[in-house]
Amino acid sequence: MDALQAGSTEPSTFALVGNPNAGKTTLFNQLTGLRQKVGNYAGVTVEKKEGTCFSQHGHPLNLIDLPGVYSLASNSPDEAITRKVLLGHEPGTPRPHAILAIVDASLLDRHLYLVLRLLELGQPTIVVLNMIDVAENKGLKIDISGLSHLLGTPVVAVQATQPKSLLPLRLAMSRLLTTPPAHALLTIDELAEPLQALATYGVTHRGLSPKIAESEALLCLSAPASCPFYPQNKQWVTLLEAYRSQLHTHCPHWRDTLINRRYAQVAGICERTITRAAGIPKTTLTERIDSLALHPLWGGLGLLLILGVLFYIIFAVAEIPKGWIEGGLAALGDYGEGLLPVGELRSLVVHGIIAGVGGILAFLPQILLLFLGIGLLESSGYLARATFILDRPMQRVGLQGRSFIPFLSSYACAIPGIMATRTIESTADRLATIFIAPWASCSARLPVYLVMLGVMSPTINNSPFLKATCLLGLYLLGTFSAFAMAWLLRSSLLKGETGPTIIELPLYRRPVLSFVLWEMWLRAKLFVVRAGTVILGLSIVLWYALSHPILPDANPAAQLAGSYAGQFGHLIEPLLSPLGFDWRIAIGLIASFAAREVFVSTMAIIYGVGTATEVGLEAALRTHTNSAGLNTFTPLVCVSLLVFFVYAMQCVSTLAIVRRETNSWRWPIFQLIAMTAIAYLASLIVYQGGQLLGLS
Amino acid sequence: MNTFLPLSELKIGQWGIIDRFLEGAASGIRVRFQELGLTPGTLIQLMRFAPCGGPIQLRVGEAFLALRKGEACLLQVRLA
Repeated sequence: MDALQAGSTEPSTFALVGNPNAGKTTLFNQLTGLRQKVGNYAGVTVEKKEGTCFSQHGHPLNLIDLPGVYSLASNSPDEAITRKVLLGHEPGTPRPHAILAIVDASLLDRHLYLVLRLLELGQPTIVVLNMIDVAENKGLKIDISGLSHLLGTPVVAVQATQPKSLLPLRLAMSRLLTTPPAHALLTIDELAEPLQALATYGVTHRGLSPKIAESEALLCLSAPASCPFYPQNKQWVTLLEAYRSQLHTHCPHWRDTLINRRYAQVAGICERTITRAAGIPKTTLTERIDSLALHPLWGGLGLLLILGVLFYIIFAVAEIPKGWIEGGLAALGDYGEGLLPVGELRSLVVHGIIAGVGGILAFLPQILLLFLGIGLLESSGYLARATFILDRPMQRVGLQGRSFIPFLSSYACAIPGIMATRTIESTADRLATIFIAPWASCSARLPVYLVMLGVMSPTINNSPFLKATCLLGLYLLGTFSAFAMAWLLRSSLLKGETGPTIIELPLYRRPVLSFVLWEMWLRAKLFVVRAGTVILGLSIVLWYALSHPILPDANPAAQLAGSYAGQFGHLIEPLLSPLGFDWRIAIGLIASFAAREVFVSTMAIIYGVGTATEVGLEAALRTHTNSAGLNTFTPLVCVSLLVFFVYAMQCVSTLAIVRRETNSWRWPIFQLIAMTAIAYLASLIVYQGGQLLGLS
Repeated sequence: MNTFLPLSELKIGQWGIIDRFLEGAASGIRVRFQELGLTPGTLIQLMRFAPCGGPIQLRVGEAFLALRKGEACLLQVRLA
């Protein structure tokens, strides 16, 4: 704790702690100049983020942004991170020197509970009243110096979205905080002896101050699992368990007593520091919106309508800019064709790079609009309402409303979706949600869906409405299968109770467009960089494997069949022909296990698309015939292929994130095998069943 | 006269004061709910029910919270 003393060269570290949705990350972004993701619902931040800022006097300060918590005793994975960092139990992160306790000023009567809990830790603390404007609009007037006096620690009021309002905070951070808050650890007589005995170990062996050691001991008494040294130090654990059972017998409700006393303190403080202006309208805008958005009938229909409009925009509206990009790429291909001499290089550039990478880039508008829609929902406050409406239906399949936001994010990409499951307290619910997340049709599947629907029938291709309907069908297939799988898992492998569920419904806010646009920009960059690196690399490898070894005098079809990839495709064709896939599709399928959208690149390379003089990928696939003169891509083959992509686990990055989040290879391997097997079976049923019914 | 009833049986728009947790509220639920501000003596208003037996929305101070019915029935309230 000496690092705070004047003259120390080590920059001080401030931890940003507060209730969920109090605006910690918005403040963190303003102070550090970083752009971490923000939104208007509880649980946007699920991991710790570090950054540097400068105090008003120019000293560098480290900041750690932490997931929101209601208390320090909770055990959902995101809240556990906050507790560990605060107590210095997180490996590699030294205990922060000071705390910035972020409070939503309009919810002071609730958020002060955590503040008191934090002050009891005995660390230097600045209380930051955020959203002071919202409180004022509600007619709440807060006596800041009175609050500071009662809490025994500095209090500043800010609007985290307004950089100018942060001056008092920067000034407070400049004063080196050496004095811990004048706020005592709340305790009761029965706890005095256990706390002192347990704290002795922390003081003598870990060099903690008595106050911090007692505070830590109190947490261990409430939740033994929160002690980092719980299993190792046998002697200490025996002592802890003895005191726990003693308390359980003599004072079973000691935790309730502490919480109630703390809330009584909160009520006393609020009474003395908050004055309520008279004449404020009773029903707020949020309540008026909610009477419609949460209406038993209109609420559900409204949710369906919002999701419907979101998908319609992605499917139909995005087709227009997609056409422009395709036109531009085709012109680029023609230009390359004319510029380069006939030969290897021209083939590589036109048929490998432009066709392969360009085939993917054309889907940028879809990806951007998807992130625009999700970003607007996230920052408006509506997502918490969707959680409320969907809690019961999700419970039917063994999940909970909290599974909804991770699942919805997975429609953009399963990776952030799986990270977002950290807010789910119940392990069984969390694992079930992680397992089914890849069946939410992610944005990488969109290119495949759109191309295959276009190939399937020119009628569908020319009607935005039909196309959107078919796409909706594919999305629903994945969604319902995910729910069925969740139900299956929760009634077999992952039995167990769902923990208590509490959903906070925040006030609606006008979405901050710059944040939404920033998120879109990040996504676009990621997508383009991926196209320019992974997909470019794969396209070159595929182009090589598809055009070598060079067979002299062979026609293009024979050349393709005789290439390395062609030989490989023929090798595995017997495995896939029951699904209706020939060796060319087999090559695409194998390549798509690196990333789904590579399927489109592969098809573009195989069918030599890349210039405007040719007919375009969809028409090229539709009219292609095999050696027997039959169509390769009959409508039935297209359906079979679409179903395969709905179910198959073809994403290395998702497997890696599941491994990290579940801390074992068991789940990702299980996911890979089960989902691929289900994809194979489903396609087999579609193709064989379709043939039996006389379809083609 | 005071009327006591489980929280989940308040009517829409009714105000109540949290009285106590009923038997059967496990200590985990009790602690979690109280840390979220649902402590005895707290004034709450039932705002609405989600359809088909879904969660219920409460006004607690300046905030809106939603609880599941199965858990809300573990709290006894006194009509205010």
